[in-house]
Amino acid sequence: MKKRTWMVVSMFTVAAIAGGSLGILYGAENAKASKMKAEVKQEDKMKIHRSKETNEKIEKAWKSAKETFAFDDSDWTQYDYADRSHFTETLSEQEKNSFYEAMLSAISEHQKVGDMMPILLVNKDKTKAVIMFKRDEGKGKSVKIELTLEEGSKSSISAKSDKESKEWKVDSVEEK
Amino acid sequence: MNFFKKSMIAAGLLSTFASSAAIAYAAPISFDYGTDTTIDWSDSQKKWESRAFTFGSYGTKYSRTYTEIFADGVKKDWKNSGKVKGSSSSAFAYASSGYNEYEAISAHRIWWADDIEYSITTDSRDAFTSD
Repeated sequence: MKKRTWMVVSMFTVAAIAGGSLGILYGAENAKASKMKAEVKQEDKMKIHRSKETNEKIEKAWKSAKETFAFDDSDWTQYDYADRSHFTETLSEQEKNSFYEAMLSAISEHQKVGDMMPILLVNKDKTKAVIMFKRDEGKGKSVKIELTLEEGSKSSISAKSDKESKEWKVDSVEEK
Repeated sequence: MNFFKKSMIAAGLLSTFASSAAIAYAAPISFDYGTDTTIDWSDSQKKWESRAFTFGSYGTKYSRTYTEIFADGVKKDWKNSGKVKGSSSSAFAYASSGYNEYEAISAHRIWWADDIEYSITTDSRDAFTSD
């Protein structure tokens, strides 16, 4: 009888420990899952995935950078840097390649930890692009990178079609 | 030569011409499944990690992945794999925990020959928000 009781108690103890462990594991998984993953679609504007506070902070930095350089954006199309593909998808493959090449070479050379999300401005005929951002979480200097679409050298592909290729180049970088 | 034979030859020539034209004007490679960016927790770094991968289809000679990670709208890190030989590359950038929102943006490029004109580029993004 005593042996039977001992067996039953042991089984309950094992079940309790197993249940507790499972609960702890489940709790840990839940804690990890407390970050909500947003499904970012290609056509989405990234601002819909941000909080009001973050959008305001980013827009304030853009406004400040434009004011620093007395930049009149009335004839320019404005893109969030995170939405840059909404602009690049309108370019030919060759222009798109050179745009990324110029933009990333300038960004990688001049970026620092603490820079705010940049803004990308493109003129009407898509021959000029300006990237602006603020340093030090929006409290520091402003940076302006100008890119221009220029006549490039004749490439082997374009030579076949007898067309002059066009390439995006870094025109200037200014910080103030 | 009867009409049927003539038609067959014409169709063959047209098909050859169309294929050649398509090859001349379209990239012979494409981005494969898995070319993407995700933000996940890195157990080894104890930070949020932007994981960016680039995979090119058969014929890809070089690949490059460039990723940037932002927390609450502020840049925290970036990584550039550089132009690497082969059809795949990856880049990982990190941001400390404790922020409300994380976003990662990556540029992916693959080449089928040495020069930039023989390459194609695409973008990918991910976002992660606290409850």
